This record gives sequence, C-alpha cells and structure tokens, in this order.
Amino acid sequence: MKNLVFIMTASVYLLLFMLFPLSLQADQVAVDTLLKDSDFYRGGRIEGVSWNVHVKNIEQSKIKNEISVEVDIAHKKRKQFALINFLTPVKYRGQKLLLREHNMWFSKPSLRRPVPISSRQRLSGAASNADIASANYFEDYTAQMLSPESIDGIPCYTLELIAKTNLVSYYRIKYWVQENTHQGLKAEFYGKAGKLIKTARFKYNNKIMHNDKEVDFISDIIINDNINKEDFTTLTISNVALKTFSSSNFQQKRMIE
Amino acid sequence: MRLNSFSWLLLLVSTSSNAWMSQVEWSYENLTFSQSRNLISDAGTVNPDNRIAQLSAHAIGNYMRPTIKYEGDKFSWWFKPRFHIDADVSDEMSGKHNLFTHELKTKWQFHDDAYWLLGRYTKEFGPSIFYSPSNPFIIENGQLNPKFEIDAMDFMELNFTLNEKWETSLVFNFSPANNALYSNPFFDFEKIIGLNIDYYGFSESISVIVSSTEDKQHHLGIYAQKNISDALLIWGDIAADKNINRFYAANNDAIPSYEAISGETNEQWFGTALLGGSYTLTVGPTLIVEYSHTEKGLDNTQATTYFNMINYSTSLLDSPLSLC
Repeated sequence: MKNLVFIMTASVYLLLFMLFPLSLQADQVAVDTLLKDSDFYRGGRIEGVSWNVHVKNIEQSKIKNEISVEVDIAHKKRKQFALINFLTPVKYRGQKLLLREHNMWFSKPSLRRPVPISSRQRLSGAASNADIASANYFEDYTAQMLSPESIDGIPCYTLELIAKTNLVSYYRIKYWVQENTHQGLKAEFYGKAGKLIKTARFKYNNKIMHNDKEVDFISDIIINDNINKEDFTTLTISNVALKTFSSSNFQQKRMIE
Repeated sequence: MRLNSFSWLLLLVSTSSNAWMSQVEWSYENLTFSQSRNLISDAGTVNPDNRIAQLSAHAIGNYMRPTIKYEGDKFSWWFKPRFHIDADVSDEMSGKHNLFTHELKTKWQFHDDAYWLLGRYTKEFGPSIFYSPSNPFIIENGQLNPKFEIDAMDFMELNFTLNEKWETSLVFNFSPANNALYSNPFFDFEKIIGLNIDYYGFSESISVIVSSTEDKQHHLGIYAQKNISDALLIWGDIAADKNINRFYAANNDAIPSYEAISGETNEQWFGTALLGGSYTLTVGPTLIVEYSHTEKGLDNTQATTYFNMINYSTSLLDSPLSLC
C-alpha cells in the first residue's frame, strides 16, 4: 500500500515535471503571438506596405521643425527592408535612407553614393530612423509577460522586451498591448544602464484590408523625450497602401538614381 | 461622329501627355563660390613654386546644375547639363565658361529584378570617405569635397537582384567622356569590364569586384561593412592590382635629364587597403576615422629621383634658354 501511494505520488511529480515546460512554452507562444500581432498593426510582418509620415518636433510648446517622408517597407523571409524618401522641406528633398535588416545607408543628391550609417544616427528630434519604419519587435527582442496594467482605463497586457542583439537603439522596452485588439498602446524605451530614454504612445486611426476585413492600422506616434520632458515629437502616418515590392526596390545602387 | 472621335483622340493625347509629364521631375542647384589658396614656395613638393599645376591663388565661380528626370514603369532617364563659369582673380581678371553634359543615362527595367543602365554617369561605390581603392573605374569618391562633382564617364551595365541577399552587376566602361584625368598625356583610357557581386547579411554587407582592361590590367576589389552595435560601424575597402598604369621617375642615360617611365615593376601585384570606423555619440555627433596603406607609392629611392626630376624641370623653366 505504502509503495502504491509512493508510486502514485511519483507519477504526479513526473506529470508535473512534464507539464511545467509545456505550460511555459504555451505562455511563450501566447507572448510571441501577441508581439507578432502588435507588430502587424505597426507595419511589421506585412509583405509590402507604403505610407507617408509627417514628423513634427515641438520644443518649449513651439514647432521647431517639420519633415515629411515617404516610406516603402517589405518583409521577405523574416527580413525587414525599408526605403525612406524625404519629401519636405525642400532642402531635404532627394535624401534617402535605406534599411536592410540591421544595415543602414543614407544618401542625398550631393553625395555620389550611399554612406553607411548606424541606427543611433537620429532622424529628427526624439524620433530615430527605426521609428519611421515598421515595428519589428518580434525579431529584435525577447518578450516576457509582466502583470497586466491599464492605459487610460483600457486593459492591457504588459510585456518586457529585452534586445536580442546590441544593434537596436534600445536595450529594454516596456510595452503595453491592448488585451482585446493586440495593438501596442504605449512603450517606454530604456538604455542598457536602465535609464528611461523616451516614451511613446500609439494611435490606430488608419484602415487597411487584411484577409478581406478592414482593420485598424497605426496612424500616430507621440514620442516624449525623457531628458527634456516638455519636448515631444509627433509622427502622423497617412496614405497607407499595401503593395508588392521586389528585392531590387531596396538596392543600395538605386538610392543615387 | 468624326468630330467626336477627334475630340476623344485629343483627350487621349492630352491625358497621356499629362501622365507622361507628371512623371518628369526636375531640380536645380546653384553653386557660387570663392576660393583662396595659400601657396607655399617649396622646391621639395610635386608642385614647386606652383609652376607645374599653376593653381589660382584666388578664384571665383558659379556652377549651374539642373537635373531633369523621367521615371516610367519600364524606362527612366536622367539628364544633368552643366554650365560652369570660372574666373581667376589673383592678378589680372581672366575667366572661362563651359557648357557640357555631366550625366545623361537611361534605364530599362526589363524584369522586376533586372535592369539595363546605359549612358554617361559616375560609378561610385564603397563605404569609405577618403577614396575607394576597390573601384576600378574611378578611385576618387567625391566625399572629401562633395560640392565639386566627379567627372562622369560612359558606362553600360546589367544588374540582377538574385534574392534578398545577393545582387550582381556586369559593368562596361567604354569611354572616358569628359573625364579630365584622361586629358593628361600620362594616362591613356582603357576600356574596362567588371563583374560585381554584393552580399547583404544580418548586420553586414560584402561586395567583390573583379575587372580587366584591354591592356590586361587586372583588378580585384573588396569592400565590406559591419554594424558592431547601434553606435559603432566598421568598414574596409581593399584592392589588388596587376599591370598598373604607374609612372615613376628614372634617369635618362642618353641625355642629362629625367623621364617618367612605366617600368617592369608595374607587372607585379600591388595591394591597397583602407580601414575605417564611425562611432555615434549619444548626444548626436558621429566621429569617423580612416587609415589607408598603399603599395602603389614610390619607395625612398624612387621618391628622391622623382623630386630631383621635378626640381630639374623647374630649373629648366628658370634658365635663360627657357621659352616659357
């Protein structure tokens, strides 16, 4: 009898031993799905999409500068490509930024060829070059679920994202993803030393067709600089269109045409 | 009915014309400059007392640079005429003007991943700032003074994008066009054919170019870059050349003078390497460092002979028998 009880207890332990990693894996699958979905609403994981972005830098309640860019984005075999064309102001017209995974080049009409740049080189104000392109958090970060929290009364999953490589601009991101839509509502970006660098809020007032259904899509990003707390940068996204791009659209050689 | 057809035709012509015109873009850049040089009298340079290059101490100029571009679905073309006015205001005012075609090229995108390019343009590539040793067509990359344009040459090329990682192009440089380098009697233009292969990785890219000229000058160029972190970027640009067009000074035994010769040593392989890196500070500025080494220069003996030749040539200009 004693042996039977012991065998039954051992069996329970064995079952728990086998189920525990599976339950963790299930959690991770849920987190991965959440992150993939939230990337989608910000242009990530879409085969081809283009949009216009109007960037406005506001310092001490005044518009310091404004730029407009046109962005072509493609995702092929989990690789991200983006070509950013500067439209206004006129002095920036003809400037281009090309992103191929973690390679980045800049060109302008007076340069005879594209110049390689690092991701830390900023676009304008608090906006980095990566902010203009689509979100690719699933590929660049490892996610872990934290306790759920609410943003403006909206229930959200809270994720902690840790950079997989040191090629991304932010080592850690605290990311609030809306529970029912899986859209990212807020993000806090931290440096390696744990210092909060900036905070971003996201709005989804654009529409795209996905699987024959109209779905909400990213329309506004408001970035607050943590150093100068009253300064902020707004990114307004418009003219969103799903497209098909060939790999040759993202050739370095074509930046100087 | 005829009138209606004619109206429709006019409307169609008008519509297609507008559609065509809407694909034409143009821009204009004007460069007005004033340039002053402090010329040092020193016999030990390649330009002693400014007698060889005869550079202007003070110059002014105005360069007009329009660009007209048409970008269609299959065909695109670019036209960049130039009108330059230069004046030397050192002693007596003297000026010149020049109207020429800087670039005129056409592209035929015959497949989503392939296109032909033909015309007069510059062929620049590589990540470096100082110069691009891997480029067999023109080593200068215009980065040190981006205000001044590099002379274009005539090219024909075929480009293929094989997939998201690999690209290749076959480039034929068939004429020097307006390139001032080849107006120099020391340099004869040779047609060049080159094969370029590009690879793009996760955070790095590597390109290889092999080329040969009609006169069997062979060139192997490699350039690569790697993002080490979000702030640190490194690159390299290297080349190996054989049968190069390098002149060095030699004593002329027949008469007491010097001559510039292209000797037997040019038949060996010469290596050139450039290594660089950039670091972007958190506050914004980017620091860039480059180091270059080339075997194409002169050794001490050749350099001494070279400077002796220059000094001998300038002494001839000073002699009473000089016609200059």
